[in-house]
Amino acid sequence: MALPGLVYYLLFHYVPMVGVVISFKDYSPIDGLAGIFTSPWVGLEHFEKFFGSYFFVRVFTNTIVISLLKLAFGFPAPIVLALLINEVKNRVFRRIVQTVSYLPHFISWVIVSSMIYLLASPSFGIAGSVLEWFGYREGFYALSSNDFFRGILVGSSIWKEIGWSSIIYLAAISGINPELYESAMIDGASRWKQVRHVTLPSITNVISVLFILNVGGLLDAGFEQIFLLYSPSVYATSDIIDTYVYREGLVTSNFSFATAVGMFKSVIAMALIVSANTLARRLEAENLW
Amino acid sequence: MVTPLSRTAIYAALSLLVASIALPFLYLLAVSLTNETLLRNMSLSGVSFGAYEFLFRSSGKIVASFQMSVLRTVLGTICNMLVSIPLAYSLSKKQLPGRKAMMLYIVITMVFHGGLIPTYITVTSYGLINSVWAMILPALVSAYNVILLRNFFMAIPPALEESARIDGASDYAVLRKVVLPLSTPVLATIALFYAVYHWNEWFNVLLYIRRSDMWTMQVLLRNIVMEASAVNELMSMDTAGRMTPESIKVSTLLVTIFPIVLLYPFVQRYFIQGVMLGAVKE
Repeated sequence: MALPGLVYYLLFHYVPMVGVVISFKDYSPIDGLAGIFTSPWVGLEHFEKFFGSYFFVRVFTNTIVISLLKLAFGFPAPIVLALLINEVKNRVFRRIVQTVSYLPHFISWVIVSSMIYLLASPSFGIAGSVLEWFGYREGFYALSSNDFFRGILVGSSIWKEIGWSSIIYLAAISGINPELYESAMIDGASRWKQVRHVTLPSITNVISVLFILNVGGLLDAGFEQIFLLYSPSVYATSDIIDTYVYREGLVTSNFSFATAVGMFKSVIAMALIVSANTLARRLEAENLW
Repeated sequence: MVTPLSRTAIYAALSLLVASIALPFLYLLAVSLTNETLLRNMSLSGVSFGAYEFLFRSSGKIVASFQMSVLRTVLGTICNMLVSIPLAYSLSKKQLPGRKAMMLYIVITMVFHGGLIPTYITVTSYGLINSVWAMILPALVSAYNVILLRNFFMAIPPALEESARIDGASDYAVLRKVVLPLSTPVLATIALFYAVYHWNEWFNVLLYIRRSDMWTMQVLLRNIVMEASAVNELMSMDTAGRMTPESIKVSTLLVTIFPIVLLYPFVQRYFIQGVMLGAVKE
């Protein structure tokens, strides 16, 4: 019964994994699937080329910086939202906030990026007018400005996921034993102190599991979002490993080279998630395995 | 105690969030209905569905893409469920031989994968270019969803299944008649996750589909908003001369969102339940 599912994984996940060897070879797209085995070996040539290239520093830095920014702002945001929603006693307002905030998660990045594109457009969108009030020249286009672009990435990413990510935290918070709050109140704790000493410690497990998962994805930095929003004028601050792989691999057909870069990324990502998990285990928090 | 000041602050912050989400959609909706750039002409010069009329009547492109999106979503979700459910069910049985190995096999794919290029090479060499299957097969099973399903199945009391087996039911029959009827919330949630994924997925269409008449709404939308060529083509079909490029873009965007927003209130119940089920059972 499990067979079709397992066959799928074989065909679409493990077979491509074998294809990773082309990063050590000189593969040409014409060769097709068999070419994975028949192309000549070139050892670490592609890796050397990558590390030595002008783009390595830029691409790697952007990936790390963007991920860290998203982590620093985007990881606490749903927690804060969950805490805020938890404080709201009015059920109607609560439902409205939850319903509305979950919606962007179901909207694709194509749509969100189109919205940003339309709203930021100098001729059409309102963003242009708002920026003019702040003194930017008329026709300023935020999406091609290196100063703004990362902010747009982080901001829109939070906007999209804050509601959905808060569900897990809310579920955890609602599972906290009310007696803990009562005893804190008896000890004279204000609401704020209650949050700090009862709520937060109780959800530490959930926070650490999600944190591990996030750290594991550090090198991902949101390919689809960036790919849809970026343009050559902002490559300097937004070109990440994945977008570079896409351009090198599929646009200019440097298959072997792009695979080498991609593999470098996968290996590091795996190392990251394993170390983050080990760290959590050492600290005796919840972990993945 | 919560001070009045902090309560106001909390309500204000949350209202700001709600507004930041609702307003862009409402703004774009208003623009598409009035056919003017709203900020320049603040007057509601009359609600007109002209833009939508144009999209659906004069231009076959939108209709074709819409149909493609629907086809992909329906067919894809069915295939997803047909493969994921038996997989999750068999993995939920502790007595399954090689169960741990299989779980590892699947979890590894969540952490490590061949990368974009090898996957691309693989899929193209299977001959899936320009086929609907290129949109469905590469993402046929989601490990995350399988784990959610498996956890739920594991929580079903074995006594129920055993009594069915005593009555002589085969594995498949037990699954169909006992387990599935009990699992409707989780099944609805997973089906929803898959369906939303299909409706929104854009990148693998970009990669594997070369024919513009097989585009899904997402790809069409991207083209219309970002590239002049698609818009000009559509504009040239506008014999009444009432459309602006912006109204085409905005209307297409709203048509793409529309099914999701329409179904959203009804299914919201299910997915919250489903996510909590999955989280709690971890």
